[in-house]
Amino acid sequence: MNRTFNRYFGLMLLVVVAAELVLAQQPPIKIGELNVLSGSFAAYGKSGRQGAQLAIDEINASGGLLGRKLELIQVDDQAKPDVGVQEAKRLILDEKVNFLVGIDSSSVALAVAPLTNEYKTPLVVMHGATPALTEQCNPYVFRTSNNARMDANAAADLAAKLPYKRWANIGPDYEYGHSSWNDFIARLKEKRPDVEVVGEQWPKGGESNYTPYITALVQQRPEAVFSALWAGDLVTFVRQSNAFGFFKQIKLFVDPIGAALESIGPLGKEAPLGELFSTRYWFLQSQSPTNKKFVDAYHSKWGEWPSYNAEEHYAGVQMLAAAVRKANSLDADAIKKAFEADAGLTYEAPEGKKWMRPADHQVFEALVWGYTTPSNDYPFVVLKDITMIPESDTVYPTKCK
Amino acid sequence: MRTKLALAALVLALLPWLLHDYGLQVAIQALVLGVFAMSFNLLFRNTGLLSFGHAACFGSAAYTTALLISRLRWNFAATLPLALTAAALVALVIGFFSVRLTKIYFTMLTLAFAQMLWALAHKWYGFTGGDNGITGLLPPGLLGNPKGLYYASLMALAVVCAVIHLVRRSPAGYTLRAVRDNPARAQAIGISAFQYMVAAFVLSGTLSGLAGFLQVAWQHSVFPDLLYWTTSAEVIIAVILGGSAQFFGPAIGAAVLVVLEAVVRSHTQYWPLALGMVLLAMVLFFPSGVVSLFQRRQRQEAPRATA
Amino acid sequence: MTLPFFFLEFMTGLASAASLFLLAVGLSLIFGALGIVNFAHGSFFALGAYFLFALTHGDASGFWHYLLLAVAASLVVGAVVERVFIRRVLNRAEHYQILLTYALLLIIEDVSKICFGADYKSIGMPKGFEMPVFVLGIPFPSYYLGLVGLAAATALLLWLFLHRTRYGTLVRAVTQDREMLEALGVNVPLLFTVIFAVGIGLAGFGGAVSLPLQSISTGVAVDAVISAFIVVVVGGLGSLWGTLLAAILIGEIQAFGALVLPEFSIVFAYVLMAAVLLFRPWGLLGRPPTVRT
Repeated sequence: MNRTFNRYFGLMLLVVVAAELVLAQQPPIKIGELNVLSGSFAAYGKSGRQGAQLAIDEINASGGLLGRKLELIQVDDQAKPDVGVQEAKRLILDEKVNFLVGIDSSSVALAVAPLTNEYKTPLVVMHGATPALTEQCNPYVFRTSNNARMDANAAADLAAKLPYKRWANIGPDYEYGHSSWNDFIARLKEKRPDVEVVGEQWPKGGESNYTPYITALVQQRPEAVFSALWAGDLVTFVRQSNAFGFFKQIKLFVDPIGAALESIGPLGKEAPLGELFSTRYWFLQSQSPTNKKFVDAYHSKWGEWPSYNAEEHYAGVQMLAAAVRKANSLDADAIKKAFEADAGLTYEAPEGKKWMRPADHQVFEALVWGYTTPSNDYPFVVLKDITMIPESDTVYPTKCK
Repeated sequence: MRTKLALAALVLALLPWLLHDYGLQVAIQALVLGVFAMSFNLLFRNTGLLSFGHAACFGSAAYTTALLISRLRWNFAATLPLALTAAALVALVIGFFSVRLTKIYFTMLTLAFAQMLWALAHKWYGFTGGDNGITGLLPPGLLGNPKGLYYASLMALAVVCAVIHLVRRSPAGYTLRAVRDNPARAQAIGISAFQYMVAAFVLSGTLSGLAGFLQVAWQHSVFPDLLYWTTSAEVIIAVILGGSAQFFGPAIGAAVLVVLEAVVRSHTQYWPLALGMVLLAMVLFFPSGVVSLFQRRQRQEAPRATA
Repeated sequence: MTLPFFFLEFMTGLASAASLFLLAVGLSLIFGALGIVNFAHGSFFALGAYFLFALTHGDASGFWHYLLLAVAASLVVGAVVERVFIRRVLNRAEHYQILLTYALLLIIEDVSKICFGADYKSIGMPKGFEMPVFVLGIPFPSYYLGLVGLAAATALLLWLFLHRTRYGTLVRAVTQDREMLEALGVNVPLLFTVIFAVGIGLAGFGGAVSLPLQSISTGVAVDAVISAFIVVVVGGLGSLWGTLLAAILIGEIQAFGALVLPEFSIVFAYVLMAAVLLFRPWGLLGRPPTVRT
């Protein structure tokens, strides 16, 4: 009896060990993440990685994807397109990644996109927001975060309801800055033909001295200012313009990603109050169990509150995983079909429902806008008088397919 | 020497069959920088002029190719003559104004001109695409195939080496070196230093343009950073690292630089730190370049005339 | 443009000029005395800012105390770099000097990333300068005026040092005839170390006091060294007042350029640099180079 039991037990042990070995030897699915890790946007690369890593840890803990573990390889693209292309090539050819994800800078995203056709490696963008990316109609490029056109349109819709006529712009002089302003003012003028553009300022991205632009802007005496400045640029700009009493000289300042934790965090008490900001994800907004679970998990793992870039990377990785499971394959064409099937893949993210339009692979979702106000619970400003722009209002026509 | 050369040629010819995907990409990158470095050294070694503006010639050829393909739908290979012309023109303008100055002032002026061109490319959104650059430039046929591009680049390198060799042996080459070694004496025997130096600058710039054309074929895109001063710095590093006084020094330096970067980058993000330390070591311990490390024995021989 | 705004723009340009002057004057001094073109100069400017940020932890209340420490650290770094590295290339061909200082630029960039982190650092206005002053009815950051004052004071002190002290006379002498000075028994290597350290200290000082004005992150060093070159070339390599004049010129060009032609404002500085090199290569206030043995 004992010997039989021992034999069976030994055999079972052997089978279990063998299975473990076989599974462990399955090569991991590699995900190459391109982010900005240096310079004035570096805080985003950090939060992006943290969000992606949280998603990957959760997926691995529940058995991996298609029975294989996920591995994240993050590299710095320095917000430079040529570095992005070089690193993307290295990730594809040398590290042999199955997917490329992330990309904070719109310019880098545009530069890397052609590689997806060359090497048939899908790219899932979770931050870079120029509408031009999805308007290129690349078969293997997907964007799971909202883009600048959606933000600008929402801003214009809100602005049209306000009494201000004299508008000016100060934005970073690259793709994202230009497309945001162009979309915003075009839509605003449609709804309010009486609106007048009194000035435009274009400091370079990563500018360290805004004073000439601030004084020029003040001179033009706008009532309201639209700005696509973000990250360290916004922090520097706010600090320097506070020294000029800038926010007291204009009536309203509008910034589509002004309420990002990477900006209002460092600003703390210096952040301007009563300004109209949005952020792609506001961690206090949704009361859903998905969001609560995510916020708690992120906070306990990383010791900080999830910014929008963290949530977008988390949700993006999860949505990609959902597509892979639906396709039951890592093949680029199968994944494409999975994203496009059934009128477009949907996913319940912490921020709410994401829906990917099959034609251009752009995700549409509700947007949160509010006015900055001080908070007793947090060391940064929070949003009040929040307006949720529904997903249906954010959709715009596309020339793809 | 002949046998060494033949052996090297054989290895280079067989290399694409021995390397995998990524290695081949690195090899092509090394060849393109090699063409650039050899072209740069044509000017540097024969005139002693240290130009910080060669990125302008390199980049303007690259942009010409990119613009012709993307805006006017030209065939990739057909853009080569115009690309070289653009590089030559840029070199003519920069050289014409800069060559009159000496040493650090020459370097600064070439830097200023190159930066102006960079600023133009960076800011002229409508024409050059600004810092989005121009992407998706896939060459058809031979140049689009990695092995094909490798051999094309290898041929380009061979052509550039042949041209440099011919120039060095020619009367013009000797004249240049005479001007380099003793400008006053050269002037005294009636040599117009200015014309010779501008000509050298133009030839050097034009061949750099060839490298720029190949760069587009490899990278499939152009960005303003191709014109930034750090690109000029990179080619200078390649030349000095390999050894400016050795014929193939610049090409070898380029290969070492590119391979080193590829190896280091796969292990750490701190490539600038590694490169900085290599440069420090080079300047302090082997200033004659990498090639000279393998030629210690020959130093004991009778000193050759500086030629 | 109304008079108050014109004056405001002018003052803005002066504030940029103050920062540029402090960045470039050390470079000019080092080139004048040692003949070295220091490609790492912008890195030391950035390092001063990093030191200050690290000491204050981004809190501006201890600004002035920590500023002194940051400058002292920069002086020490400058002295060490000169002794260990610069000394070895003093008599070599210029491309070795360029490569050595470029190597230092690369190394300092990554070491800064490792020690201080790769993201941007900024600091609020120091004590006493938090509220704006009113210039012709328009609020203007008081710290900018303070910066202009600091730069002016530095220029004056430097001039006094160079022209009214014995050591300063030695410094001016070594720019003209190094061998003669050695023949007269002056310890020239020590003099060089001091000059280089002072040049780097000035750059570090400039970076630290500029921190409330502009944030610091990777990439600032690379842009800064080009700005420094432009200022020094336009003003005249080795000329104190030339550097000041050029800094003011370029600061104002950038300030008014942002109004007139915002897209191309960065081109103006390069055009000025090229124009000076074409017509007066030794700079606006520099001296034509004497023949050196």
